[in-house]
Order: sequence, then C-alpha cells, then structure tokens
Amino acid sequence: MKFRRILFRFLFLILIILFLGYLLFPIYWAINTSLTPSKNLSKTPADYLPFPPDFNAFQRILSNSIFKISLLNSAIVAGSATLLALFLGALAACALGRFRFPGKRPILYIILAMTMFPQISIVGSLYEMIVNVGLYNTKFALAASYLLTTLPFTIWILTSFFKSLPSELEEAAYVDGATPLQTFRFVLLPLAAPGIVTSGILAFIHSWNEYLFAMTFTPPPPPPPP
Amino acid sequence: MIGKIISGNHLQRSQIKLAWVFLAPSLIALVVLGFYPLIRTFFLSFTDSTRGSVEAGNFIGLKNYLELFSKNEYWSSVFNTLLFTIGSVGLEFFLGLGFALLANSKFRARGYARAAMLIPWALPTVVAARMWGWMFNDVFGVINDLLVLKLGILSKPVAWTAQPVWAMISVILVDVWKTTPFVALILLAGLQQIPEELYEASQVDGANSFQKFFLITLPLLKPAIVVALIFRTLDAIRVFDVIWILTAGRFGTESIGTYNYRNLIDFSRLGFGSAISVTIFFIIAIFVVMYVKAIRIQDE
Repeated sequence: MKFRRILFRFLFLILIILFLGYLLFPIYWAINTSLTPSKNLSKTPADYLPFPPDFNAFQRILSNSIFKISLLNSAIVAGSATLLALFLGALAACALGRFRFPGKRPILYIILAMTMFPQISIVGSLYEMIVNVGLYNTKFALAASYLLTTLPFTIWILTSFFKSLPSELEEAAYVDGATPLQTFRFVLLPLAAPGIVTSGILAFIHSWNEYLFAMTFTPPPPPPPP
Repeated sequence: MIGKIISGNHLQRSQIKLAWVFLAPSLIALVVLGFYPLIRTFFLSFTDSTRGSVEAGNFIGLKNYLELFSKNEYWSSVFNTLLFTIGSVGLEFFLGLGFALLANSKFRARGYARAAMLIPWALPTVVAARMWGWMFNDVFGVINDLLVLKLGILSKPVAWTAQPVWAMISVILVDVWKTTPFVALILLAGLQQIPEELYEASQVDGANSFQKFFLITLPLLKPAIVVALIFRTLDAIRVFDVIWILTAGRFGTESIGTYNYRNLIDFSRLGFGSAISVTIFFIIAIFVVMYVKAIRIQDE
C-alpha cells in the first residue's frame, strides 16, 4: 500500500514536470538564445546553458532607435486602446447591467456575438476606410480599430460585474436624492473596480499582441541594421 | 405618496434616457468599426475593385464568387483550415483537460503551476511563432538537436517548417502550445464549480476514480467544454498570425485567413479578396450562433 502511494506520487511528480517543461522550455530557450553570443548560435550541438552570459544582444537592441520607437508606439497604442475600451465599456455595461430599458437583451446578445467578430473579414474595407479619411499610419487609427475586439468583451465582462452588485446601495443613493449619473459615478463605478482591472488587463494584452491590423494599417518598417 | 410615485416614474424615464446616452458611444464605435466595414465588404465582393486605385470598381455580379469556387487554391486553403482546426482544437481539448485536472488537484506548487500556464497565453502569437520557428530550425534548432543528437530518436535532422505535412504539424504544435492554457483555464473554472459533496457521496457509494471521472466530472463539465470548444474552433478557423510567421502559408499550410490576406493586401485584389472574406464571415457566423445559444442556455 505504502509502495503504491510512493509510486503514485512519483508518477504525479513526473506529470507535473512534463507539464511545466512543455509550457516553459520555449521561454527558457528564448532567454538562452538571447544570452548566447551570436557566433555560438550556429554551433552544433547547441549550448543548453548560456555561460558565460553575453548581454551584447540586449545592448544592441536597447541602443536601436527603431526598436525603442516601436516599443513606445506599442505602449501608446495599447494604453490608449485600453483606456478607450474601459471608458466606453464601463458606461455601456452600467446601462446594460443596472438600468431597465426596452431592447436590452438583443443588444447584449449582439455584443456577445461581436466578441467573435472575424477581423480578417473586414481588414480590406477597414483599410480602405482608414486610407480614405487620411488616418493611415496613425496611432489613433490603430487604437480605435482595436475597439472592435476589446469593446465587446469589456462590455460583456463589466455587464456581469455590474449585474452582481447589490441593488441596496444603488437604492440608498436614489433615496438620498442622487441622480442616475451621480449614482453611476460615485456608487457603481468604484464598486466595479475589480472588474475594470480584469477587463483592462485583457484589453491591454489583446491590443499589445495584435498583429493583423497593425501590419495592415501601418507601412512595413525599414529593414533592421545588420 | 403621490410625489413619490411621480418621482419614481421620473427616475425610470431618466434611466431609460441615460441608458441610451451611456450606450451610444459604444454602439456608434461598433457600427463604424464593425457593421459598416462588413457591409462594405459585401458590396466590394460584387465588384472588381483593386486596392489603392482611385477609380471605384465596376459591378461584376457573382463573378468573384464563381472564380473563387472554381479555384483549387481556395478549396485547398479551406481543407488546410479544416485540418488545422481539427488537429489543434482536438489536441488542445485533451491536453487542456489534462492540464485542468492537474491544476485542480492539490499539490504544493499549484499556484506557481497555474501562473506558469498563463505565460504562453499572454505572449504575443508573433513572438511565440518566432521562438518556435527558431527552435524548429533545420540546422541550428534545438528540436533537431534534442531528437537527433541527444535522444537519438531521429537519424538525421528534419526541416520541420519547410516541408509538407511536417509544416502543418509544426503550425498546429505552436498553436497548441499557445492556446492550451486558455482551454485549461476555462475547464479549470468549470471543475472548480463541481461541488465536492458529489465526490464524497460517490466515495461512500464505493465508486472508483474512473467512475468518478466519467459519471461526475465529465457530465458536469459539459457546459465549460462546449464553450471552450466553440471558442477555440472560431479562433482556429480564422487563424492567421501563427501561419503567416512560421511558414508564410507555404508547404501546405495556407489557411483561408492567409489566402484572404494574400489576395486582399499583397495582390491588391480588393473585390476578389472581399468575396473570400464574405465566405469566412458566414462560416464563423454559424459557430457564433451556436456559441450564443450555448451561453444563453447556461444563462437561463
């Protein structure tokens, strides 16, 4: 019995190690490669440990102005896309999660359906639109276009969040004579902060990682220096 | 009393008005960025428009669609997309279920294991594809190094991303690495909702682990499984990034997404490309309807 338990624990441990290895080895390999001098990268067999570590690649990339500008652009676009999605999304979600009004359910399901919108289906006509209004190669066009994906899921997440808030707080605010707008700003919004953080992180990751729109709505970068 | 009723009505009316004021910016954004371009795409698919030309294209009816449906390239891209979808979603489901069960069982480093699951998911697909592309390199890649020199499983290096069949397998493997964590997280959330009492009761009744898994875990996990599968299928059908970076659609990996992009942007065939876009849209739409239905059932 004891032997069986030890065997079981041992197999479980192996499973966990395989699991973590599969997830993390590619990351390790990227780090290992980044710290290996470039002349050693064409060596077979490959070096599995970066000793001594060579930081030359990092020095080169950090002194490369194209890299720095790209990084800044990514941060600006992803940051503003996130803020935009949160601002518009929180307003819409408050309406959908807390207010009673006709037409709410269809809107909710249309927005849910839009979380799966195939970007590839509109990349051509969106490109034409952006060029026609003179916004090609602007950070604004890119940040705005990310709303197509980030806004639906932000609204969806925040709506369920607003819905779960107890209605007593809201009613108390109304009894005290607050307008719906004041109730939103001073009661509901602060309570929804955890949901806003969650959807904000998701929106940022999506905008930071997006490739198709970024490649299409900006010209190709100049070739990297040798 | 009367004053209270009036103000209650007033409150409701001002709520309805405010609801639309709150919704308006989002709805306008989604119409401008989603619905309008979609209608444009439909319209363009019936014209011979080219990208970047000043004059508008001519209306040519169904010609684009007729050309599309008579093209082998199109059908082979549809076939490849199907292959990719079945391969990646199938693997992701079984691995994801395994990961979720592992991450749900109690062990000391569980928190770290769950955090590690997030890393591939949070990484840009482009970066993941580049990393794996380097690992798959036929001469200097670590995969060949491991399989040929270290383990001796293969007798000579394989050009993973540069020959038919292996190229598709490579693309699927990268996608599996990147998105299995996502499937695992959805299934993990489902697992955590299964009440512990059920397992305890079955324990009392003398059920073994297999019976517990097939008679309790799997049936109760079904809603989460349905959501994860539909979600992943949708993503797999519109796959673009990983293929574009890893193989550029060569060696039998051209998906319907990359084929569309090639025609739209690289060949500047806006009209013809739009016809491909429309077909993708309809394929996706079928799955979206299924997804919304699944969510609705759980909602009610």
